[in-house]
Amino acid sequence: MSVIKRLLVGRPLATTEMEHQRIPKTIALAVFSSDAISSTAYATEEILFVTALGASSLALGLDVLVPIAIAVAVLLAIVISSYRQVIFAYPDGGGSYVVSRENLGENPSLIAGASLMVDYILTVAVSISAGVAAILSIPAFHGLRDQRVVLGLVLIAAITLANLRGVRESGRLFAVPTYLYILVLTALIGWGLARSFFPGVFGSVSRVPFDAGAFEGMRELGGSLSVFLVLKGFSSGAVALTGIEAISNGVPSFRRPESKNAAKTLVWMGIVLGTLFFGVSLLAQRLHPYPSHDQTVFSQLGLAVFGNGAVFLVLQFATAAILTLAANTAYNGFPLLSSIVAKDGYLPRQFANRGDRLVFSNGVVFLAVAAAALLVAFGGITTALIPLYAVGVFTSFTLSQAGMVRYHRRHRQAGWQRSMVINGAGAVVTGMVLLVVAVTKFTSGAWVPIVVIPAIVVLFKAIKRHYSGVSRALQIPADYKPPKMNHTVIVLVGNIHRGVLPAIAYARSMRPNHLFAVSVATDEEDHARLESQWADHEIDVPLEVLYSPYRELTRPVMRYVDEMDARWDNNIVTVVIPEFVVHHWWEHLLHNQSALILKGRLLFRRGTVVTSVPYHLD
Amino acid sequence: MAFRRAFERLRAPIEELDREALEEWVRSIGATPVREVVPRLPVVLAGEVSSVRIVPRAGSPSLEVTVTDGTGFATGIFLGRRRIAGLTPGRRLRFRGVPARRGRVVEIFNPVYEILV
Repeated sequence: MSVIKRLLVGRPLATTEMEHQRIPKTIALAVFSSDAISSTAYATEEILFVTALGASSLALGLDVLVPIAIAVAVLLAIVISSYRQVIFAYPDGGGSYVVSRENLGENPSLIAGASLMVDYILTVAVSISAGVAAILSIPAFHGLRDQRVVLGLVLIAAITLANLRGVRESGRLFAVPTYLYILVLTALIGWGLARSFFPGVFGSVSRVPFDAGAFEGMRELGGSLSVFLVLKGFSSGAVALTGIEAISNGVPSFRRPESKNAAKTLVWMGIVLGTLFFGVSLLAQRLHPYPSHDQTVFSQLGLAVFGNGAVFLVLQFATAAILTLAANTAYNGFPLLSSIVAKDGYLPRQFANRGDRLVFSNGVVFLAVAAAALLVAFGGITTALIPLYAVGVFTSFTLSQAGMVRYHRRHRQAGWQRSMVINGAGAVVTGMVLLVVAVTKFTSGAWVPIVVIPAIVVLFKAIKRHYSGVSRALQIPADYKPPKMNHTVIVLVGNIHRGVLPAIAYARSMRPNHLFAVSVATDEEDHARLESQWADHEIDVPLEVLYSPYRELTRPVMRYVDEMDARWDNNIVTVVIPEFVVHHWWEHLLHNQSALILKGRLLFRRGTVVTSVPYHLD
Repeated sequence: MAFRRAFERLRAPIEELDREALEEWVRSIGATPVREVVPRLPVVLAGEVSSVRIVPRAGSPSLEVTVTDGTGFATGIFLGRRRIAGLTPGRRLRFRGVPARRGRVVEIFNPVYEILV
């Protein structure tokens, strides 16, 4: 077992090796921004799904694509400049949760924490299902379409394993595809737009052939596009912003000076994301792809521009890879966030413990299980998951920006008015987007996070209540002195064997106030044998034989212990159980486990200590 | 009503039922319940042996037989003995002697005993 673990996860790391887990900017860009950048692979398609299908006209849907893309890019710029402030104000990470906790109080911070956690889980599920869709869009892999869920689960397992090994190694492993994706997508956009706008110079590119069977709407004009649909399309496009907060959550993972490096990386990410997203939308508007579950918009563009060749394959695999990495971003953010929440007492303490490899293993595993469950529940269809997405992220955006406004007013550092305006604008805009997302997508799935997030907050509070109850109960009252105890030791004896005598010697070594050996008699023959053995071995401890009318062990012993408690004040009873230890599991089956049951009962009794004295059979 | 009583009896712990039965039996043979024992006044007690304790003190061992009659515990202490045939857990006995109270337990040193069941 431990060999397998060593092989998969690696050797344990000492606490002193912690510092080496920091990552340079170039790798950080890949690790933390793959989530945001990868959304270019599906955001355009998700806008089209809403606008084109909703209006039942592809042309109408395509018309609003570029305006929506511009709106999303503006939103992106606002959010990025707001988050730069967060990074400088809170270099210890934690992002939205910490900002809200410090500035807005308990409830907002819990809402922010719950929202982020839900969104991290969704990030994994959405990215993985989109990544699988990218692979299945390669004509050669069409046959695997029924296996999306299985493929997704395999990917989740792979990322989980990489993350159980630790952040730096997974970062290095993952840096290559991010840059490959940026490169090949830039090529797609550049080459595609060049051919589309200047067909004379670069050779023309034809529109995507329309497949009436795959798209349920009409191709050309007809249908209508309401403001509601445009807003709904916009809220689908807004998923491109998920993952921006990853950098602010992960500031401690950067090399020193952390804040400066993180802020630079954040701006770079914004530039890359904005450019690519706008480029893809523009290209789509030129080439008329149609939204479909079987053939992603992205792959339609790739096929149209590059043809079904090697470059197309690179595009698709790079897409799948960066989407897998996007899931990985959540693996960096979720465990860190849950550890901070756990340290504050709102989650089980286990989330705050670093595992063998210095990562918060419990958070990693929890994330994997939750995301896998979502993936299975929604059949691995990206479009079905998208409406659930973004509610959480915009909640946390709004809260963290609002918190930052408070922060600036309180601290009044140089240039605070300007910063406050930036964050204030951020809060208002993201708040409005949140409202738009929640309203336009409520029926198609946004109600899920709207129900789940408050439920998580309630859970957080219940956990906190338990922990504070426990710590209150464990507090030592002023001038408390423990009472002098009367110690009664009971050695449980079945028959006298090699293990019993050392157990009695052990019991005597405690120098208790009272010491008894206790046995339960089931028949007189046993009783008589025990008596004579007691005499033969010259054991000078009183032997008490209890009557058990129903031939059981537990009840008479429990009653006896009760009686001891009643006899003396401040009595503490130690029950010593001599046990011999067998060395094969199957040998246990040959022995009566009644002592085990008794142990279980005694464990929950007040003022009772249970001690096993082992005797090893060789 | 009868049904309800039967149901109550079904729910009552076995020990409760045993205790009631013992109490009834003790009364039927005319012994004093342990609860009503007055120290230093000779008495006849009866009960079921709930435990037998051998105290192997070097030179002068003793045997302590505790009986219960459903109202309390009484211990007969036989000095200088390690075992007495027939005084084993589960037997019913009659003790005759002068009782003393120690805590919640009634003790009789070297009682006259009679094995009943």
